[in-house]
Amino acid sequence: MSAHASQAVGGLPAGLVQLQELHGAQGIALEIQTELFPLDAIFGASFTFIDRAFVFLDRPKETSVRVHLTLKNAASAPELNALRSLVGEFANELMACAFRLRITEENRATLESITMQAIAGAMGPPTLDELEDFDFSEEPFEDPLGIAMSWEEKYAKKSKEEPS
Amino acid sequence: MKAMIKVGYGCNEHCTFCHTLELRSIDAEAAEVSRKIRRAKELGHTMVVLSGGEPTIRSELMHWAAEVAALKMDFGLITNGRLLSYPEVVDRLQSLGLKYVYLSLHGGSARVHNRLVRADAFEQSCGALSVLAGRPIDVTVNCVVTRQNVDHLRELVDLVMPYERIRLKFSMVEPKGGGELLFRALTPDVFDAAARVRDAIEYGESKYDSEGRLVHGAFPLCHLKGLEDRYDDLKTHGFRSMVEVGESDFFPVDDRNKAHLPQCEGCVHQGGCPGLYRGYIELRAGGERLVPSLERPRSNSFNYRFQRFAEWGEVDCPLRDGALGISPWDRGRDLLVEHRGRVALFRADTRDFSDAEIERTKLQRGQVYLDVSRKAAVDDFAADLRKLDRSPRCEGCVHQTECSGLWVPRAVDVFGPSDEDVARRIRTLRGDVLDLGFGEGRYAEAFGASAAAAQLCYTGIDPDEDLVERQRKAWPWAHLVAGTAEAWFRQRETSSQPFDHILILRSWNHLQDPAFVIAACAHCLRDGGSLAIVDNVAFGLARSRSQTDRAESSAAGLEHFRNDGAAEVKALLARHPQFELVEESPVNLLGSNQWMLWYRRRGEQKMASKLS
Repeated sequence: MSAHASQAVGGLPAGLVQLQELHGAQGIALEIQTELFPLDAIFGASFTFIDRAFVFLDRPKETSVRVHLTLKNAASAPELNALRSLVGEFANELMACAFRLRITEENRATLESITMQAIAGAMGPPTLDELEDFDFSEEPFEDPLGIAMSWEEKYAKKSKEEPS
Repeated sequence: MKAMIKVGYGCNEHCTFCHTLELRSIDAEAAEVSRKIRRAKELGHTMVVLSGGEPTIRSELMHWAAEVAALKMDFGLITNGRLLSYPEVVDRLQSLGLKYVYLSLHGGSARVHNRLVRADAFEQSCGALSVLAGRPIDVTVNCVVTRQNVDHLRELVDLVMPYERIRLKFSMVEPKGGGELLFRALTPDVFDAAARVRDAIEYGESKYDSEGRLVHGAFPLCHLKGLEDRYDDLKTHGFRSMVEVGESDFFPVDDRNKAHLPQCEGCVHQGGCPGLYRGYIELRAGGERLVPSLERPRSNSFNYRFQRFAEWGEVDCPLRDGALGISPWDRGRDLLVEHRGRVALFRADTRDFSDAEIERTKLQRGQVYLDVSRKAAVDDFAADLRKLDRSPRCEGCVHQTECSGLWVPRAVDVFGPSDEDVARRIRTLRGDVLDLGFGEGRYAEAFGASAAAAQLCYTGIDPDEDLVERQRKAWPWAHLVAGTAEAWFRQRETSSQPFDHILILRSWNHLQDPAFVIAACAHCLRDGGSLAIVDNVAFGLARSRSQTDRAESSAAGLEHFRNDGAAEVKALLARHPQFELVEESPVNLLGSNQWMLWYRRRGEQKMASKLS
């Protein structure tokens, strides 16, 4: 993807947000650090905008993803405020997506179990009545010594912590 | 009855011999494990044992333990035990039904253990032993024997044995994953390692009140003589089936990663002996050091014990289409019999026969029977047994070669016809007859009639002195000798009169040295004379629980030194070109377990002069 021209937008972080003219249409771009936001969150946020804007993604650097937003139903030179609002909403949605993703990950085991339970129930016989009494609120265990950590995770972490 | 579920291959250690070295990044989804826990219940297991990788590093551990408890099953772990050094974790798991722990500890010191697991783990794994000791939990400490720890086994004995009731097992390292990759660096000579294991066990026995808690696995039993009953593996621990990550259903626990070498043929311990790892056989020779035990008699039958009934369901086949499934059932050891719209599940857990022998008996020879008598020992096969055949439903099924199959009883006497076949030939015999191992004299009537007509001169040999004494009175026409066939041939003068016919009827598998007996027969059989060999292959009996218990507690002595079929005997006779095979009746799927071989000694027939 190539942008013909770009300029900073007042009131927004200059290093992250830039107005862009893309093939003759005015749009706005947001550069996102992938260390901060997982790719799945970027996809999630992008998806919520596809009814209003054309969304393009590219990767200008190894550590970042750039999102280009162009309003679908706007004149060739939309108002600056409309573009500011568009990118601001995108940034907020991105935050929400990342947070939801984290919650989902933390509750993955419980969610999967409940889903499986529901599916198993819908599959009809043979069902196991005993599961009706099952308590899904079983908490994980305390692990102050960090034993329950994979060898790779532990030793990769150690080598990172060591001064180079 | 335990089911093993692999929850993933991630681990907080990195053992040099790790079986799943290339799979360490793979973990099962929580839902997959939950589904398998429910499936384990459905298949009738009473305990779920989680394994990996290392199952205790999964945050879902308590959740799964609770699921198992909710299904009223016991819970177990195959683990390095480090997490179990937290007493509160063990308390919680125990409250959720923890009854079994199989804990890896590969040395009696941090130096040895940590080097093998490549982590600072020793103190935590040892800590787990202190936490687990004294609780009502079945604990086995497993030490994988490698070149790095083979000289330090006594150290481990001293560490573990003071904990009452905790078992210590020495397991030969398996050439798989890291064990294969680093084979030369890790793998000791299996026979030398067995000697070190023996030393460690005997050391432990002499120093501690070990009560049989020192056991071994994956070493050939001929190098642990006197410690054969200390053999320990998944089956002795009650594991019935297992499932790897990504597999859709359970598979039976088997010994297919190990094999017996040709030298093991006829060894009485073959059923209970692991043999050698296939990988070891491929990568290192050494089978010549195997020492089969041929001198002891073995069983010629095994029991399929009744387990339970399973519902058929609204399906054509309860295995292929129904809840039973195909893969969870061992093709040899599980026997599923159609019974009044349900499936009767039987299981053979015997260690007298190997998996391969049981599978051959059931699937290749079709020699499985339903015992319809109430007897502990079957004495009238035709009346007491119903042959089990593969169900017509199995015909044309694409799963036939991978499935344990459905079996149906057939109300036909399969023993009578094969017996009559032998009797028919016996009646035609004339001249000097030598009968090796005449037993109860099933064909005495035919012999007696010919002897009375002066057409036959009968000499019988049997090792049972009381029987010989009895039969002498009943068979005045016979010359009977007490003793073994081998002893009789050794004492016989070479100038003695030869025989026209030599019979080995249902006594072949009782012979201690069949090669010697055949060579002796070749010397004392006239040209044109016949050598008849008839015997039975091993068979399996599907029986009720009480019948099985009675039979297996019986003190009846064993008389068979092997369970040869016609093929084994033909291979031996092929070394004697003077014998020509004239008639053969091998065991087949539809007939009884009896086979017959009728040989003729080459040359022109010259009958004894005094007989017509």
